[in-house]
Amino acid sequence: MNVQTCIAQMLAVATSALLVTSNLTAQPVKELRDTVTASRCSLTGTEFARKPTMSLAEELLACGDTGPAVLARIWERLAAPDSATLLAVMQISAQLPDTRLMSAMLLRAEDVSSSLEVRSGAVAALAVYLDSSRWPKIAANPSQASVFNVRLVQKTHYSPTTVSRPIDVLQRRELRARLEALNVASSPQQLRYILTFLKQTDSKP
Amino acid sequence: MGATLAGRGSLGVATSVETHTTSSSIWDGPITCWYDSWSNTLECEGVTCSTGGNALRATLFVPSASALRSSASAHESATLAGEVSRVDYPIGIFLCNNGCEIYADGTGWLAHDCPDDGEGGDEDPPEGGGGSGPPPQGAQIQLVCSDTAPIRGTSVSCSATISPSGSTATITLWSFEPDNPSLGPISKPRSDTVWEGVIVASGRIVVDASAGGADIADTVSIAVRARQNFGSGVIPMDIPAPITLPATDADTTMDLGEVVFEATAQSVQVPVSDGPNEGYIFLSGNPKVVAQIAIASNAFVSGAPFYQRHPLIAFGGYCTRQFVGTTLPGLILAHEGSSLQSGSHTQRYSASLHQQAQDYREISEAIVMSGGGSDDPVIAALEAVTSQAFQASSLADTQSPVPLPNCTLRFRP
Repeated sequence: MNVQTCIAQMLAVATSALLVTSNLTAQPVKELRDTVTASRCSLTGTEFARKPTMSLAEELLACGDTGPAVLARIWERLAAPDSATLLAVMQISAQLPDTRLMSAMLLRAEDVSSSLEVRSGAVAALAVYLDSSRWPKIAANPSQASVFNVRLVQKTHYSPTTVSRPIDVLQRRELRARLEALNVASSPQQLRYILTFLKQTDSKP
Repeated sequence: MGATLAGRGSLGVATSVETHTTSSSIWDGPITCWYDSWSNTLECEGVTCSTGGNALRATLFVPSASALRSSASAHESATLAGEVSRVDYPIGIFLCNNGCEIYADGTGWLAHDCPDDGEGGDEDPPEGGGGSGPPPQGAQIQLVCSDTAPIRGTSVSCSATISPSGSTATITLWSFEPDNPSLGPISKPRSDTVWEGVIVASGRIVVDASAGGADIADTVSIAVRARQNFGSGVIPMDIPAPITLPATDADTTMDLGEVVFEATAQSVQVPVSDGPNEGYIFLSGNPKVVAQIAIASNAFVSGAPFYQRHPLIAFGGYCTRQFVGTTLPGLILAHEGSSLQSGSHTQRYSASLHQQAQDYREISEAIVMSGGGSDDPVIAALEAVTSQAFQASSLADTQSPVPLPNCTLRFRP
């Protein structure tokens, strides 16, 4: 490869990266351009932080800036959630592909001192950022009636909310690498079941 | 109870070792022995003990007499005291002419084990030190299984035989070590000579026994074969009644309905109730796929923002409220495939599964799990097949022959 070709390729890569980034950041976030929505999001965010329910989660979906910030804080302190809380937090997080939220969930996914439910929930929600055909779900654990499992199922029609800090290509690549690092024999089996999806997303962008 | 053995090597090195001991009616308490490395014999309380010439030689480090009262092993005692002698020492069992055995117990200790008095004619110690014949030497255990390549789900019986027949060896543990470590090993402390049951996973069956304090074991590898004609027929897909999405508004057509696909083997799980694979679960047939359709019904009723955004009467090409309330739900159900409508998500998914039926059956046949029967291992195992099926299903959004509204829907601005 000569120098000119090399430079041309580097420019092409840089240009495409810029285009991807600008496309992502250029998308309008309603909350940031509509004061009524912003005010409602602020209230909903406060309420959801106090008690995360599915109905509030639905409202928070309209909040592309407040939503990820609130959820990131919730993930940071999530300790031993009940199944309803974890379900709401997982599913709303899955639909808000935001860098702040991604970072908070990754930290919990990697934190071996966190409960298995929290780690599994974080991994399952993050999985949707890499493969939009996945969907996090709670299932009863037949071996212990009081304990539930987090699992990934398949769902049509992924419809994410436009967020103020979307995940770019490089961050997505890093996310994948860090999830792959969790898919090792020393990780809990339940995490590894969820991470099975990585094998099937090798060829996906 | 401890016993002290004092040994004397042929080179004149005086050594001694504190020992463990098991039950003894002949030597009840500490005994003192002298070791002669030329003849490989121990002389203990007037009784001669020998290895029969079959023992391997090793070097044992033992502390001098002054360090012996430590409760630690001989090597640790020696380390603590800093006074170490060494003596060549045969590994194996010294069989004494009073019926007792002296052996290294594997932790650096020596021990002696004598048969109980008056319990069972075979175990009575020979009288007068000579006995009616030499006691069994170097007990061995042999494990034999009725089938080492069984078809999954068939019974296998494994029998352990201890030789020589007069040996005092006792079976202590049966265990199964699966090739797939996620299944977890099965261990059963039991003295039966037979372990049998349905086998579903490949691995190793191990029997452990204690022979005069020494551990002996044997292993048989089991390689399970797949069942032929497993899961013949269709791959079942359940489509339960549609459920309602909570949203009352919609941003795109994607928000109007959806299908969640999930494999489940709950109805075809067969737990193994006894034997080497006790607690493992295998499948009697193909897992089914549940296709749960959900529809945004709450958005199609009077008062819902989505419904109210549509005009009462037709104008500008927009769909009317009547259309949203009465016609749209049916179109969405047809698109998702509530009745496997041609070109729908469910129909395309199902068709892809059937194209991959052979793979689906082979994977399902080999599924073995433990831990209560969660569907998680099933979903993970079928990932390659269901992933392709989902890709095929997605074409319903881009190559959809399901009729779409011939009017324009008004989504959230």
